[in-house]
Amino acid sequence: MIHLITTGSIAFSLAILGAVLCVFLNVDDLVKKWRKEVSIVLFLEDNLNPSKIENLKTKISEMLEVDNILYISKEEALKRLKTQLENQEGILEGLETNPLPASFEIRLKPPFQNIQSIRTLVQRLKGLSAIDEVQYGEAWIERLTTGFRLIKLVALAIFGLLFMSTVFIISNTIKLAIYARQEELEIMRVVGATNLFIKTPFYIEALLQGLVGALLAISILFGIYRLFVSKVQMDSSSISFLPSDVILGIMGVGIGLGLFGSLISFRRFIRT
Amino acid sequence: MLQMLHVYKSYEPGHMVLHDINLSIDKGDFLFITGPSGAGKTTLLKLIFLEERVTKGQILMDGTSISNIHPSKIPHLRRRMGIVLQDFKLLLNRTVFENVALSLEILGHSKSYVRKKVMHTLREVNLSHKFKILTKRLSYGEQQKVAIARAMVNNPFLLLADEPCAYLDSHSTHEIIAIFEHINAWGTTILFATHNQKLVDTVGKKSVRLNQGRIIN
Repeated sequence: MIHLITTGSIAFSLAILGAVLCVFLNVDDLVKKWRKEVSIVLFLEDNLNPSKIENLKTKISEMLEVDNILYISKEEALKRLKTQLENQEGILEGLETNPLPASFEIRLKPPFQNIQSIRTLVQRLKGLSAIDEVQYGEAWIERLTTGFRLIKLVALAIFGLLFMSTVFIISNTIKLAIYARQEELEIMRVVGATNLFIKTPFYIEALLQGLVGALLAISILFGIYRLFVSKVQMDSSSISFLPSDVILGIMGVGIGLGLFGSLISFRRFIRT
Repeated sequence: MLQMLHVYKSYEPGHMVLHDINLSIDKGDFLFITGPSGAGKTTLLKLIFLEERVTKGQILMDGTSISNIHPSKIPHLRRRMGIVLQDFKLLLNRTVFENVALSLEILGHSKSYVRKKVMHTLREVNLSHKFKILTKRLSYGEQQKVAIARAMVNNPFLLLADEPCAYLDSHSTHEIIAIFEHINAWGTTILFATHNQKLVDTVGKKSVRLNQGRIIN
């Protein structure tokens, strides 16, 4: 019974931890995908000659942060707008001249897809001549960064709380196991058993409980994941399950929890 | 072989359980430690068995002090001694064989050696025919024999017995005493604590009397 409680506690805690990690990793993936979409748009002054535009393009593409740069002429910009407006093209009919500016669309290399790098780059771009305006969706990126930071903090707090409460539960259930076998331990001491000899079976037990608890947690999580994917009729590639290294990590944490709990219990209950 | 030099023991400040104990026990001795309840007999054995540490003084074993021995060395020293307690301290849900084998298993002996040695020891205490029986099914006298077998299976040089006949009738008591005398005849030193002066007089071995933590003869 005691073993069941300990294994159950480990499984419960690790299942919640795994669920938090699963959500966290999927959000992280999503954020990475969004970040790839982040682009900086440089609106150019009117009437720039082609060589000036080409020089500017070369200069910007040589910047460390820039992955690729696309020039959108005034004509191309108008064409895109018309496509976006679809059936409302009539809005543009009265225009005598093209009011849209030419622009550059810049995409960044992955290491620079963060708010700090974007801000630094934008400052440098603003210093270039012939640039009329720079747009990069600052508010949206900041919201994304703050939201992700918050998720990280919540995940960390949940992990910390769960870790402490699981260690507490495990150490107490192991204490109960030690109490139940107190007589046997005392007899072993009487006949000259070393502390290591006495403790080893408990450590092995704790290790196995941790491992079984972790496997149970992963199985439960996988079941819930499959159910969730089928219920919301999603492609399983859009929400991914925990990667193998994280699964191994959870198993490691399970074993660690078991061992840590038994170490704490033994500190108080085995006299030298 | 075993010497206690000016040994004092207190469990709480200002209250000495043992006062200035000086005792010398030679190899092969059979020594009774007598005295009323609370005289300090159990404490004295606990000090030798290193269940407790002396407050002051020295205990020498073969000329070496064990008073301040490192905790990690205590199990190894205990394997050279045997202890029999009044409440037997047996694993009641295990067989007679398993209880006696425990002393050898902790040393990592082979199964065949353990079996041979345990059965031999059980024959010495007349219990070999009950080796498969759970100890809880045995009488008190038989349970104490199992405890003695467990204590002597390692061929200890010193056997400590703390009121081993306290719960036994006179027939079982005499059986147990006969076993102790048999073990002593092999050369094992025996320290036997009892409050039963009549028993001590009957057996006629050397004795030391304790009263209120002091040796009085």
